[in-house]
Formats: sequence, C-alpha cells, structure tokens
Amino acid sequence: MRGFKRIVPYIGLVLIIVLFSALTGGKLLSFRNLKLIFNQAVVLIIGCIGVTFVMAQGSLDLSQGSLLGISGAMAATFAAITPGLSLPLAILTGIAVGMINGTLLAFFKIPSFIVTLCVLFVLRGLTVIATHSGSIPLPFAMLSLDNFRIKASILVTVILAAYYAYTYTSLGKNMRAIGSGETSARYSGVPVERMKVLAYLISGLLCGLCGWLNVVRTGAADSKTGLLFELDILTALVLGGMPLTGGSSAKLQSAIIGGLMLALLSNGMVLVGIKAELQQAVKGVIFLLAVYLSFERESVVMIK
Amino acid sequence: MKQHKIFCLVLTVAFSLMLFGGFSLFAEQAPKAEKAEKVEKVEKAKGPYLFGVSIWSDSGPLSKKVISNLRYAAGVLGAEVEVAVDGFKPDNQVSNIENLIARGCDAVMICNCTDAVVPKIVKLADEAGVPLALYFRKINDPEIKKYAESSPYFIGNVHEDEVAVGYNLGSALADKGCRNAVIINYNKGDTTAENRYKGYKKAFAEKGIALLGEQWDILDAEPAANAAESFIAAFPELDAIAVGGGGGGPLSGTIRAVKNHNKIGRIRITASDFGPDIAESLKNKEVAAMSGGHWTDPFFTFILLYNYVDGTPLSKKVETITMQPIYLTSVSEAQEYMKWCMDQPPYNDEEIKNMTVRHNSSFTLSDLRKIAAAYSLQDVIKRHK
Amino acid sequence: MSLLRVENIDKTFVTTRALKNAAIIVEEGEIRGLVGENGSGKSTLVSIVSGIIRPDGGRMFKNETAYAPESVLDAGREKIGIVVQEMGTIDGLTVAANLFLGEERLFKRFGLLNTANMNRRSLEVLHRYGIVNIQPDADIGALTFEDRKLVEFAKALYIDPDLLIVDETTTALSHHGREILFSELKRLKKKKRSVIFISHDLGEVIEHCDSVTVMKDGETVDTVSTRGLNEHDLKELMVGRELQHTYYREDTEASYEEEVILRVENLTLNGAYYDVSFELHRGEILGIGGLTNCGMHLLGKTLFGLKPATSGSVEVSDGNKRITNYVDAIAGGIGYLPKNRDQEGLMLLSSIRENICLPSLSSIQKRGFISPSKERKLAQYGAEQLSIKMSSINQLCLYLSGGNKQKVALSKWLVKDSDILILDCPTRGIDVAVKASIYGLMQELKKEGKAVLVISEELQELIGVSDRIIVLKAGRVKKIFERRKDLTEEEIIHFMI
Repeated sequence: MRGFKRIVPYIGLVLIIVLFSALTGGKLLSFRNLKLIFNQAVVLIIGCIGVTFVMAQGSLDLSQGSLLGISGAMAATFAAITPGLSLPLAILTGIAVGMINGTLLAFFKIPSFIVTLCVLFVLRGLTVIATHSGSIPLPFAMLSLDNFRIKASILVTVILAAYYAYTYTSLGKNMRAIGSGETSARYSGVPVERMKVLAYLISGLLCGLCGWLNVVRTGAADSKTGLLFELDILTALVLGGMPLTGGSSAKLQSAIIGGLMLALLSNGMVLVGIKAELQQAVKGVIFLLAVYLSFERESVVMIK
Repeated sequence: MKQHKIFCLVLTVAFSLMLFGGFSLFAEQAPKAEKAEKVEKVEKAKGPYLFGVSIWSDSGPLSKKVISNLRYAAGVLGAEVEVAVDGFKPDNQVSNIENLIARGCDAVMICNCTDAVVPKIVKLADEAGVPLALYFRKINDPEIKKYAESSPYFIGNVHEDEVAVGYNLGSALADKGCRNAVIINYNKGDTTAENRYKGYKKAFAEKGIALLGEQWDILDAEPAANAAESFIAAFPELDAIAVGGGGGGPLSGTIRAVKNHNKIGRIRITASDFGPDIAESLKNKEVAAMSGGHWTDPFFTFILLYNYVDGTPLSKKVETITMQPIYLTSVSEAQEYMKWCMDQPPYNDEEIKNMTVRHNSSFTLSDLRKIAAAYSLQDVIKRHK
Repeated sequence: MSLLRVENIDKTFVTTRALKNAAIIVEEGEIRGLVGENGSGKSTLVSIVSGIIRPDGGRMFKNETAYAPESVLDAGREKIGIVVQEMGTIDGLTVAANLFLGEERLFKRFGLLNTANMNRRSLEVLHRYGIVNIQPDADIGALTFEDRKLVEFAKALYIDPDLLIVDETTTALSHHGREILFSELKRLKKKKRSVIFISHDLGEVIEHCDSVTVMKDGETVDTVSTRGLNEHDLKELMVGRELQHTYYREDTEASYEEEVILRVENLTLNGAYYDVSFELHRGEILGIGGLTNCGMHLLGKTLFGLKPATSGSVEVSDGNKRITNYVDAIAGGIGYLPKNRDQEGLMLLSSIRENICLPSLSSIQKRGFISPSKERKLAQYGAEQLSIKMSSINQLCLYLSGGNKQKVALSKWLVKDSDILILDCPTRGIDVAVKASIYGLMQELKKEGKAVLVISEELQELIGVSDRIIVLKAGRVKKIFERRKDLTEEEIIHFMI
C-alpha cells in the first residue's frame, strides 16, 4: 500500500498527460506546447524545490508569494540602472528574507507558520511601496533573457544541485533528520538552529531567483506579482505527493512532479476549452483526490 | 525502492533530453516546423474562428457583461470566444496569452494590467503569428507604444476618452450649480484614474468650480467613507464630490458618508462605472451624474480582430479607437438605459453583421470609428426605436 | 466459563509477522501475566484485544459470544480497558477531559459541556483510586510521566472493566504508583474481574499474577501457574534456551587505566545538582545512582553539552577541550544515550540506516559527498554488531520493538567510535536478552579502553556492572563506592535517602 502511495503522483502525472492528450488530439504534446508548459512550470518548480528543504524539517514557508514580488521589484528597479545588477539583487533579497525567516523561527522560537505569514504581509506592503502601487517595466533588451535555453540550464542546474545537496550531503540528511525528530536529531549532533536558518536561506535564495525569472518573463514587476504564489507552491507539492505536515518523508521529486502537474493542468484545461468558471473547481477536485490518495493516515496518526 | 529509483532516473534523463537535445533539434528544423504550422492554420480557417479573451475576473458586473456581450456578438458571426481569467496579475496575463495561443485561438485580446506587460505579450503574439489587440486600454509609455506598433501582429486598441469622462461629469456638476468640489480617486499612476482627474480639473477650471482637496489610492468603501467625512468636516462649503472610479466600493462609501451628515442633495456626487442600481441612486439624489455602459469597448476590439482574422483587415496600421461612455443624469435616462442597453443588445444582429467586411463589403475603419464615437444612450434609442 | 477466549490471531505489519496463531484464554477473576522478549508480540496481542488495531485473522470471544472490537471505544463498551505502554493521553486537554474522552455526553446539557461537573466527577474518580496529587483541571501535558500514567489507569478503571489490560506500565511508576496499581488489581480480582498484566519485571509478575502466558516470536508458547515458579525458570521459557545464571560482570574488583579521559570540576546547575566533581578513566565503567529526581539525569545532559551548567567545567582530556555544547561534545568523542528513547534517542520516522549514520556523517563524507554505499555499509555493520532484528536497514524505527530501538540508539555511537559513552537508563523497558547483550557490550567497550558512564535507577544493575558508583542525593555527591564483592543495595540506599 505504501508502495502504491509513493507512485500515486507519477500515475497522476501520466493520467493527466494521457487524458489531455486524448482530449486535445495530441496538441498537448506538440513541441511548442511542451515548451510553453515548461515556461510556465519553471518558476513554480524552482520555488517548490526551495520550499521542499523547509518542509523536510517539518516547517512551512508561506512567504514565497510576496518574496517573489519584492525580489522582482528589486530586480526591475536595479535593472533600470544596470541590467547586470538585477539578478544578484533579486537573489540577495531572497537570501536576506530567508535569513530573517530562519532566525525568527530558530532563535526566537516563533512557529514557522506565523513567522512566514507575517513576513508575507510585510513583504507585500514593501512590494506595493517599491512598485509605487503600480508596476516597474524592465528594459526591452532584457526580454531576450526570457530564453528557453537560459531557463532550461538554470532549471537543470538547480534540480541537480538541489538533488545532490538533498540526497548526498550532510546538509540534506541533517534537515530530514530534524523533520523526523528534532530532539533526537539534536541529540545525535545535528546543529538544529543553523540547519533551520540554512533551509530558509535556500528557500529564499531560490525564490529570489524565481523573482528574477518571473520579471524577465513578464517584462514587469507589479504590486500584484506573486500574489497567492505560496498557495500554488503548496498545491503543487501536495499534488507531487508531499505530506502537508512535511517531515523526513519529503521528497524532492514532489517539487518537480507537482510543478509539472499544476502547469499541465492549467494549460490542458485552456487547451480543452474548459470554461474559466469551471477551471478552479476542477483544480480543487483533483487536489482533493491527490491528497486522499497519497495521504498516509497511519504515519500521521503516529506522529501525533 | 530500486524500481522507483530507476523510474526517476529515466524521467530525469528524458526530461534533460527534452530540454537540450529536443531544443537544438527543433532549432535546426525550425523552417520545416513553421511550414507545418501554416498548413494547419489554413485548415483551421474552415472551422469557426476562435477568439481568446484574457480578463481580470469573471464574476464582477462589468466583466460579466463584457463576456456575455462578446459571446453574443461572436454567436451572431458564427465565431467562438475562449475566456481566461488573469486577476490583473502580469504573470497570469502572460500565461493566459500563451495558453490561449496554444489553444489555437485565431486572435487574442486583453485588458493589460500595466503598460509594462505589453512588450512581452506583443512578443508572444509575434512569435506565434497571432493577432493581438487591447481593450479598455491605451499605451501611455511612448517607448512601449513604439515597440508595440513595430509589431506586425499588434492590431490596435480601444479605450474610452477618460479625459472627456472627467470633463463631462465635471461639467454636469457645474450645471447643477456646484461651486466647491473635492476629488476621491483610485491608484495614482493608473492611466484611467489620471486621465479622469485631468478631465475633472479642466472642467472645474473652465466652469469656475474650486477644487478644495483630493485623495488618492482609494479602492474600497471604508477608506472612501473616511476621506469623504474628513472633507465634509473640513469644508462646510463643500457641495460636490467627484469619485474617480475603482468599481462600486468608493462610491458607496462616499454616499454613506454624505448620508450620515444629512447632506444628500446638498452635496452632489459624480462617479464612473455605474452598476445596475443606477436608477435607484439617481432617484434618491445620491448621485448627480454617472458615466458607464462602456462594456461595449471590448466589442469594438473584437470587431477589429474579426475583420483582420477574416482576411479583410480594416487597416494596415496599428489603430486606436476612442469611444464614449454613456452619461446618466436623471432617473428617466437610467430607465431608458436599462431598457435599451441592458435588456437588449445595444447593437442588433443586423448591425453587428454590417460591421464586418464579409457581410458589408463597403465597411471601413472610419465607419467603425464613427459608430464607436457615436455610442450613447440617444444613439442606441434612435437606432432601435 | 472463560471471560476471554482468543484463537488463532495473525497480524502482519508491512513485512514483519507480529503474531502467528496467538491464543489466550483468561478466566473470570484471574490476574494473568503476559511475558516475552521485546518484539515477541505482547503489545500487538493486547492492542488487538482492546480494539486499537485489527487482526488479519483469527477469532475472539468474550463470555463465549463473538467479539470483534472496531475501536478502543468499542472495547470500552464491552468493558475491556487498557493502559498502553507508550503515552496514552492527549496533550492540550485537561486531566478531566482526558479521563472522560469519548464520554463527554455524560456532561452535556443542551449541547454545552458542563466542565465544572466533569471536573467534580474526575476528582471523585481520581480519589477513589487513591490518586490525590492531581488536579482535574490541570493540563495533562504539564504532568510527569508517572502522573499521566496514573490518569490513564484511572480512565481504564472507572468504566468498571470486566477485563483490564496493563501494558508495561510499572517501569514508569514510583513505589507509590505501583502500590496503587497492585492494590487496585487485587480489588478487581476480588470483584471477579480479570486482568492481563504485561511486565519485564519477572519478579513482579510472579508475585502478583495467578498465572503467566509466555510469548515468543509472535506465538503464545506456554501458560503456567505462578505457584512455585521462579524467575530463572520463567526466563528460560521466554528465551527458549538455557540461560547463564548471571549476565553481570564476573570480576569483583575495580579495574581501569590511569589515564583520565573526562574531567568534571565543581559542576553546578542551580535547582538540579551542585558542586559535582569526578574523573572518568579509560577502561572504566562509572555508575551514577540516586533517586529519580536527584539531578543525575540532568547531569548526564550537561556532560553531553545539552544543558548548560551554571558554573564549573566539563573537560575532555583529549586536548583539554571544554564541553559547552553538544556539537563540541560529539567532536570530543562523547556519545549519549538518552533516557527517553522514543522522543530523544531515535528518529522514529526515519530508517535504521539514517539513525545509525546521523552522527557519523561528517566522517564518511568526502568533500561534501556522502556515498550511499558507504552509508549502507556503516549501518549494516552497526546493525550486525548488535544483531538488531529487522527486515532491512531501510526499515523505519517506528516498527521496531523496544529492545531493538535501544540497540539502534546505541549503535549510532558505536559506529561513531565514541571514546566516552553516557548511558542514561540503558535497560529501561527492555527484556532480559537485550539487557544481557547491553551489559556484555559495556564490558567489551571497557576492554577496548573506552569509558562508560551509566546513569541508572536500578541499583542491582549499577552494582553488577560498575567499577565505581557515585551516589547523588538532592544533587550532591554523597558517596563514591569502589567495586567490591560484598557491596549491597542496602548499603547504597543508605546514602540515597
């Protein structure tokens, strides 16, 4: 049964692909459309990967939506001065926010849900200020950076680096140990506080990168940019088989599978021509189904 | 466990191959692919035309009316409309346009949330070879405007003359004898809000109304009520409040404040974007004049696009069409509006068909411009009586 | 007529066969002991009887009518109550709410819960069983483990059960708690009610039970009367082979090297222990004994750098390094086995491999890369060294028996090759076979020149294994005993109380 649950997300992905391919007469899998899905999924997948590190420790990161907004605003503001500054500044913003999140959680012992929710609000306010309640355009020249190859290389690099860190280094193992049992991990020598800050730092860094990618993609940093992005991330992760409580069973694959699934769903529903009014409802039903099928009731009961 | 790993590995390899190998392969075969696409497009022309519409919402009164009106017009012309909701967020707007193009739409239209998102959207339309037009919007940024106009697939835009809106409503206040006014407006930086403000100021200057104060960034009822109360308290001589816009919230908040101070009738209110309860508001003298009914704007964008898609473009250049909203200043006018514009389409089947070259070979861009400019309550009544 | 008849019960967890054809018959008015090594299926069997889990096959009868409980509440309706081995109360609720969990309707009127009434009833119930130090409106999370156990006990009793199951609870109880427990068991017997009593303390079982059922590898091997039964015979039944008479050290003199490996000077933690100084030598097993709250458990945590001392110092001789935090402690070669195995010693939701390798990650990594095969080998080595019973090293620790969990918790420090091992209650809630192997292991470590510090509440154990025993009373060192042949518990207790 556990084995079955582990492959539910894969089955779901294949099902969605098969279903929508059939409904669209193969249009879904045309190369142009695949490229499109990739375009829409890349930011989501990178965001999900960052949050996976946090969730592996059994914490949450809800600050992503506004972080996407503020790092985008930083990128656009500085791009107007020198385009070369935009990427480093977006990433630095992400790192700074991640450190704040992690520090508040690890040293001031405020629950992650509260910390990141508050940071979400604060950053949204800052984003509105930074964009003067409107939007900041990006220099035209930078639109060419929204290039398939650049994005593909970034995504593959991030996936490989994250997979390596998550699976083959003490960093990832320590983080998962915290998710499995914080006290026990500490008693086994895991520097718990440092790891917590690091996890949020990674999450923030990747979200900063997302902010830049997003601004380059849309050509504008807007006060509304990234609104509800944090929920998209959670939805994608759950679709990808991540337990909502996080913990050591968190898998990096969830980020990739989930991000792809969500992008496929949005794209597929438009391709099929499902009415806009119905799309949200369809997403909700699929989400519920995913949670029902992959939820490990047994172990959750055992956790508490 | 082992199988699981192998599965993941296969997936990863497939994915990377798709990304790198697939792309370079595609790049080499690009011309071929393009050819194939063209063939597809010719075939497609046989079926009904499909128009993609990205809209901020599908639940508000304005957006609902826009959608139903477009669906009606498309039905008359044997075309179809695909709607995607973007919540006025740039990333969603880009995704929507991508998806609508992928859906096979023959043309796409959008109410862009900011000028800044236009270059990207134009680029998408260019790459796909799909015509694009804006509704409710005008590009203010000269650089972005130049960029958009250089694209062969950017057809144009339709927008209201918002300066005229402000001017007309401001004049209406003067006609009712107002002398001391304030303006409550939404986002500073928003084109529509700024232009209405300009119009009001112009009217006030010409007709001798003093502008006592102004308050920006008001999007909801609560802050609007607070602002109005402060103004009423500060200026006893106040006899007019101009609400720039922002949906129904700011107006209802302003009305509430005026009511609380028992100044209904003594302080006159003007606003834009009237809703279904306009007759009631006018009857109770809560408002002096309002503009609205501009949900026909996307319809003109649609007509532009339809003629282009049908192979008979109305113009070879990028065109901007300006239309007038409807102004209502009395209860009887409001009742007429309900009867002639809401309960039946403002343009009947015959008139819609006549706006296409397919059914009316002599139809030209200047005809369309005239129709849009003439749009008013009297115009609709005259045509349909 | 038998009160409970259980036939041919089977149960498999993922890959582990927990019960095979288990059967038990309990008569009215009988106190039945249930013994067996860790992992022999005792807890699983009683969990099935009390409706916590459901069997894969087999039948049960209560008063000769078919009985198949779907939940604990179901079992409660059939008048079968249980006190479980692990935590059976719910944090965040009051004592009263825990006591009447699932029975709230008794106190409901017009849909509102009458809390005052419920508290009053709770106080009555608690007092009826001689539990007087617990307030019904207290948050249960604020109580000690023992008090929480007593609340559970009262909860199981107040439904006036025909059959009460007590699963390995006495290790958590003090003398006073045990007295309450056993007097209530006697009272139940008098009322013709029955009891199934699980314990690793065989002496206790023989003293208080009428008969004992022995389980081994998921099967019920034998049921014998306790009349004339001695502990040694019972052990043999459990292990299924001839036991050596003693599993303690055979030498009777202290022996350790000159070299001091850990030096503790004037260590004080206000409110816990004061002015503790001692030296730990290579090849020494040093025992620390005293009453539960004498400060020895916190002392252990300070030595490992988990609980900063108010003053004084802990130094590892290797480079004269002062230990102030746990990262330094581990780097200084210290390993620590906490008393609370499930919350502190193990990551239950991680695999055996992950648990064993965690402290050693820094030593098996190569330029940041941790090779999965190295990790596997290390875990395999550790698991084999202590012969941990498991389906594979990837099995989650959650599904291991108590003794095997303890072995995993120990193994991580063995593979780390720690020089100093601090063991806090290393044999708590563990069967004889694992106990023996842990004692054997301590002697092996001694031979290798490592140092072991054992903190224990069981004097027999301290006397049996230690070279020296430090006795703490109210946080102060009262006496240090050297190992000698005629050292007795009485002699030590004298300094404890």
